[in-house]
Amino acid sequence: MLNCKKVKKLLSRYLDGEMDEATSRELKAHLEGCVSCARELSGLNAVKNALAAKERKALPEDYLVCRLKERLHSAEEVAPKWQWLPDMGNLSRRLIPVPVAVIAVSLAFLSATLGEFDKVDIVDNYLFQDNLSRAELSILEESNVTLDSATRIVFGINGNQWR
Amino acid sequence: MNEDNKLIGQFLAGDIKGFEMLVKKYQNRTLNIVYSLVGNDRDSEDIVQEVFIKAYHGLGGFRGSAQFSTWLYRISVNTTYDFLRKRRHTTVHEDVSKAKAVIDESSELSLSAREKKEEVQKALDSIPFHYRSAVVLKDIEGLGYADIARALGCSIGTVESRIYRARQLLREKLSDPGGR
Ligand SMILES: [Zn+2]
Repeated sequence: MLNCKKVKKLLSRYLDGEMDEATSRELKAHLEGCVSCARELSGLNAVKNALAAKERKALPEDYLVCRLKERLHSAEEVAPKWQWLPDMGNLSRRLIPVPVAVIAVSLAFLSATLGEFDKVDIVDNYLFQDNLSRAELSILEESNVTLDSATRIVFGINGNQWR
Repeated sequence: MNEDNKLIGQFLAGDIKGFEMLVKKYQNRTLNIVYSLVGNDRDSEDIVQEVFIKAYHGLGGFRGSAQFSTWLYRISVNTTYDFLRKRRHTTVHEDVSKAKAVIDESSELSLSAREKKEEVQKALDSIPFHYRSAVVLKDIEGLGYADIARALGCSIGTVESRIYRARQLLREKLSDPGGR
């Protein structure tokens, strides 16, 4: 049997329709006989409705595409040396050793040039490290470039521009 | 293959139109998530740009093991978190000049209706980020718990308890959450 403490913990899941039918039935039965839990549910439901009714923002349709193009084309944002990144996956899939080796060398060089980096943030790890192929990983390893510094090199520019 | 993956394929094959379509499809959803997390137009717009710049650079390695939208929302939440963390450490004099482009539909509402809407955002601003991000992905974007778990990199159980806690806290902050 469900007690009030358990029911209250389950109310959000119930509200979001993430509950299996058997538990849902049990919960409904409890709510019919329990004022305290029913009140809790209506409070949570009111919050959910308030958020659903919250104002929505919008950008003009072409605005962001234009802004992104400007930024990606400006020399500051994407210096030529960064531009290989979107193609990296394709390169390794086609197993072309030469360009990949060039990448490794330039990473090693940049790593030496730029020195120590701050701890890389989660997003950059996620984007970059999670998506490296085994070939790319072994190249980094052989070049003595840590994943963190490789990631920082790639995303360093983006990471610093909030100021 | 779903529509997003087609567009990604198009982009990776060298056609920038694929990326443009993804931007147009997701810009307002991303904006509303980020806005709800950060609470002002100008920063939201900058962060949304940042999110899509990261997506642009990251898509080359996108293997399609997750849905594009979940992946994008993960970038959105983390980029916003990173922004807020950095802002805490720098003195920002909020010159609250309005964002350049964000369309604010509430400017046509009466004062009391506008205050009511701002109250919801203020309440969101006041709760911890990990509660806020969970409840925003649920109630602003409408994701299911499994996708929220993927976007936040935590378990479904954690998502559930964060959403519950977020709603409890919000209920305390909102004077009359049910009222109009
Ligand atoms: Zn009860």
